Formats: sequence, structure tokens, C-alpha cells
Amino acid sequence: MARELVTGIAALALAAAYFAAADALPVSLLSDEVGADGVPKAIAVALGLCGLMQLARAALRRAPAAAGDETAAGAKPHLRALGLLGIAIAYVVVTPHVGYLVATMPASACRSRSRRCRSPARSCCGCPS
Amino acid sequence: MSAVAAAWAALTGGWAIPAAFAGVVWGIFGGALPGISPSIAMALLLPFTYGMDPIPAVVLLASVYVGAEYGGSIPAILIRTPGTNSAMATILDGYEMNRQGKGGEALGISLVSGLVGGLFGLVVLALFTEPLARVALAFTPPAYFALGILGLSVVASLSGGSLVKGLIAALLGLMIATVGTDPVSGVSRFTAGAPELLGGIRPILVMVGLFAVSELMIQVGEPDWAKADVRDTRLKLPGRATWKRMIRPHSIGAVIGTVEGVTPGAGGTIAAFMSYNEAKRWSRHPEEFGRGSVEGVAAPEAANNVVTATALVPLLGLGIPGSNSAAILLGGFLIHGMQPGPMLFERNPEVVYALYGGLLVANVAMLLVGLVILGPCLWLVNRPKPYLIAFILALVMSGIYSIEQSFFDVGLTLAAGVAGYFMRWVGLPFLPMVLGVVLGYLVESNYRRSLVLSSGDHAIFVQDKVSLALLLAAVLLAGWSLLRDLRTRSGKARAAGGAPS
Repeated sequence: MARELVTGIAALALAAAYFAAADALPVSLLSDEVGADGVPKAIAVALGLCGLMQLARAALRRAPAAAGDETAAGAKPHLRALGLLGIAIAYVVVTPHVGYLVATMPASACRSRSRRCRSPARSCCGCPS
Repeated sequence: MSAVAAAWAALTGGWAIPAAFAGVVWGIFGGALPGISPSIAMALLLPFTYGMDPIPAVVLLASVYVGAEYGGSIPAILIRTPGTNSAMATILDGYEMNRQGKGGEALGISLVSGLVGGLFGLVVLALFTEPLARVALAFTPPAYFALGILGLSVVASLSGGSLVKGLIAALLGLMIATVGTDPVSGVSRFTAGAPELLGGIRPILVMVGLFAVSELMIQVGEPDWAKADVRDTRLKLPGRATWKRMIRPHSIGAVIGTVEGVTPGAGGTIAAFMSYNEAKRWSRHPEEFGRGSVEGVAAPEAANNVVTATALVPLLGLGIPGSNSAAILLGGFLIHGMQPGPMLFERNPEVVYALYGGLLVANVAMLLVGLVILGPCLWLVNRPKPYLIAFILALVMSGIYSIEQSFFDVGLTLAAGVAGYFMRWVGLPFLPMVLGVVLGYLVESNYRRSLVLSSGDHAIFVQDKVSLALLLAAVLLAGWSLLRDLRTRSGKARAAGGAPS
């Protein structure tokens, strides 16, 4: 149920932000009847409606009994995914400064070692520890 | 005929045949690795096709798809872990044969069934898509708009059980497609001042991020798969008696693979399970199913490979990708400035014919390569998963960077990967989003061009005959998908109501 709720809220928030951004688009002299903002606004409205429908579905659906267990068990994989993402972002930031080969080898080594290490101090690399 | 001659020349004189072999090898390796689906194996190669000629590029990607379907059966048969989703049905009897010491025989059946299915699917592909070439010249801006709507109407059947979620995913894709310079007025939209975004967000970045990066993020949190016992596993081709037994399951796989392949959203997994069930129903030895039946391996494997070709019918004919793998192949076409659909037959017929030829070569290559690749495949499957993840991540980053030597593109791909990870977590399907990204520009630009032509009169969309026919087809398709969705739901609700609590 939490996921349904998150989907609905995220869709509504995104729709509102996107509509505001579309509304702020400048009007061109070359613009047609629909305008540069016409289609984006229609998409934002449709997304907002879908978000509302999703929220309604989440409210109507009964909460499963074991919802709490799922959250507790699901934290570790998310942390590992975050670790992988951290390595990838560090790679993007570092490579322009140190070059492709120098950056690629440590990044790959960090990723491949991270699943095998035992020290909690290395958990920044996505280590399951 | 000149297009056929050009295709033949491109196929035999260029890099297309080596590309078909290389694609099959890559596909078998990718398919053999649990977690690397055919679409991910294709997505990993997609950035590297930038520097290639169009024909070897599309042949390479299509061949990966062919190889991956066989590759998926290797771990399914040997370690009871499907390399691809569609290989799940193969486990039922393939692994049982392996337990009885007939793993090599099961792999041989899988290989030849794949060949038979692939060749049959190729004939269907050529027969189904060819007539669509004739309507290419009738396409006007309203018709292209309607074609885009027809493409989006399949969202209902790609939503995986929740239409609202499918719509949300499609709308997200359409949002991404609006980034960049406005097609009519030239206003820059949603670029946040970044010059790299003026040309829009390339679909390839979204696809590689969604499919490959998010899968790596998932895989890094999952335990390693079982390791294969490499002793005494040698592929054994079926003898005459086995061939006789395979005729019926092959025929069933061919028919079901054709129907499911051309149906958007159905795909190889459903085709494989349906073929398995039907083969059991029509078999003279149904009692053998689940206990190591030859027919139980032949039917799903034939169906899988029929789908590798027939899934391209809606893609080549209408420009609508009906499966993840077809969407990646669409990315391959877009990279080279080609838009699959009716105009592809008008503008680049040699590419279509060369693709048919390339698929033929790929299927034969699958047999030849399949005979010798088992050892290296098992070695790869037995490597520690973290090393494979590290290698694939480096491949993704290098591939994306090599397209434009742009770290901005790598960043966008990672952002798409994070979005994909979130989408998997909340259960939003990928394919509607890819459809939105790919079809967004086509729909918006032709919608607005049509209104400019008609001075703002929306009647132009129903006055144009092709547009009207396509819009009606879109309504029918969406209605049919909805009806099917409702029936499935009510069936599930009845089953849940009848089940003991």
C-alpha cells in the first residue's frame, strides 16, 4: 500500500511541478495555435489525474498484514544499490580529471571487491558487510 | 529488386555477417547469465552501434536477441535458474532431463528447436510486414499522428495488470520527449539552461539507464546464483527418433509464437508457457511432462525463438515496439536516423531486407556457435557475480561516453537508472515509458503540423482515411486490452474468493 501511495504522491507532485514549468515557458512569435506549452500542460493534467486515481486506489485497498516486515528486510538491497550508484557518480566526477584508464580500474575493483569485503567501514562501496 | 540487391551486397560484402555471429555470441553469453535479459544484453551493445553502418548495427542487435533466447536455456537446464524470463518454462523438463544425466541432450533439443522456431518466425516476419510497405506513400501528418496514438494505445496491454501505472509510465515518457527545442516555435523547453539538452534527451540514454543500470542496481542486492557442474556436460544433437517426437511441439510452438509475437505486450514468456501447456495437452505422452519430456523442452524453446522474429512485425510495420527487446532494436534504428514504420520500407528498404538476411544468418550461426560455446558459457556463469557486475558497469559507462564523449550523457543515463530502480520498486512498467519517449516527438510534431495545415480544425484527423483507420484501430486495441485486463482481474478475484483463506 505504501508503494501505491508513494506512486500517487510522486505523480501528483511531478505533475504540479511540470505544469508550473510549462506555464513559465516564453511565448514565441512563431508559435502556433497549440503553443510550446500546450502539449506539456495536457500531459501534466493527465498525469495529475492518474496520480489522483492512484491515490484513490491506495486508499481503497486494504493494508497487507506483513507490510512492516517488507520494509525491514528491504533496506539492505537499497543500500547496496545506493553504493553502486555512489561508485558510478564518483567515476563520472573523477574521470575528467584523472583520465579513463586510471578511473575505470579502481571503480571496477571497488565494485567487485565490495561484495566480498567484511569490514563495515567499507560499506560505502555497497558492501553487504 | 534493387533494394534486395543492395541488401545482398551489404550483407555479403560488409560487416553484417560477422555482426550476426558476434551478436549471437554476445546474446548467448548474456542470456546465459541470470539477470541479463535479452533486452539488457542488447542495451549494453546499443551505444557501440553508433559508429557502425546501419545494416551491421541492426543485424548485430537483432542477432543478440536470437542468441539470448538459446543462452537463457543453458542455466535453466543445468542449474535450474532461467537465464531469461522466457526460459522459465524450459526448466520444467530441461532440468529434469539434466538430473537424469541427459542435460547435453536437453541442450541439443533447445538449440535445434530454437533454430526451427527462428527460421519459421523469419518467414512469418517477411510475409506479415511486406504488405505494409505498400501503404507507406499514403502517410500524411495526420496519419503519422494517428500512428503515434495507435502506438500509445498499446499501453493498456503493456501495463502488467495496472492500467493507471501504465498510463503514468507512458506520460513520464512523453514528458521526457518534450525536453529540448519545440518542434514548431523553436522555444527551448525544460532544458534548465543546459545546452546539451537543446536537442532533446536521446532515447538510447533512457533505455540503457532503465534496463541496464537499474538491473545492475537490483542485482547488486541479490544473492549470487548457483554454480554449474561442468563435468560431463556435452551438448548432444537429437537423433532421428527425437526429431520425430519434436514435430508436434515445434508446430505448436510455431503457431503460438506467431500469435504472441505479433501481439504487443505478450512476448516470449507467455508464448513459452502456453506452448508448454498446449504441447502437453496434445501429446501422446502427457504423463512424461514434468519428468524430463523431450516435447516439454522443444515446445517452449521453439516458441521463444519464433517470437524473436515475429515481435519485429509491429516494430517494422508500424514502428510500435511490442516488447523490451523490440524497443532496444528501435533505439538502434533511431541512432542511425531511421524511423521504423511504413516509411522505412520506402526510404530504407535495403535495411529491412538485410535484416531478414541477417536474422537468417543469426539463426544458422546460433546452431554453429551453440555447438562450441557451452564450455565458455559455463565458465562465465561460474564467475563470481560481483566481477560480472563491475565489468558490465564499466561497459555501460564506457559505451555511453563513447557516443558523444560526454559525461553529461553518462549522468543522464545514471539518472534514468535511478528512475528505473524507483519504477521497479513501485511497480511501474518500463515499456510504456519507452513508448512515450520514442513516440512523443512523432505525436506532438505531427499533431501540431496537422493543425497548422487545417487552420486549427481537428476534423482533419477523421477526414484523412489512413488517419481515421489508425485512430479506429487504436480505439479497438485499447478497448480490447481493457476488456482482457478486466477479465483477468475478475478471474483472479473469483479465484481469490474461492481459495481457502
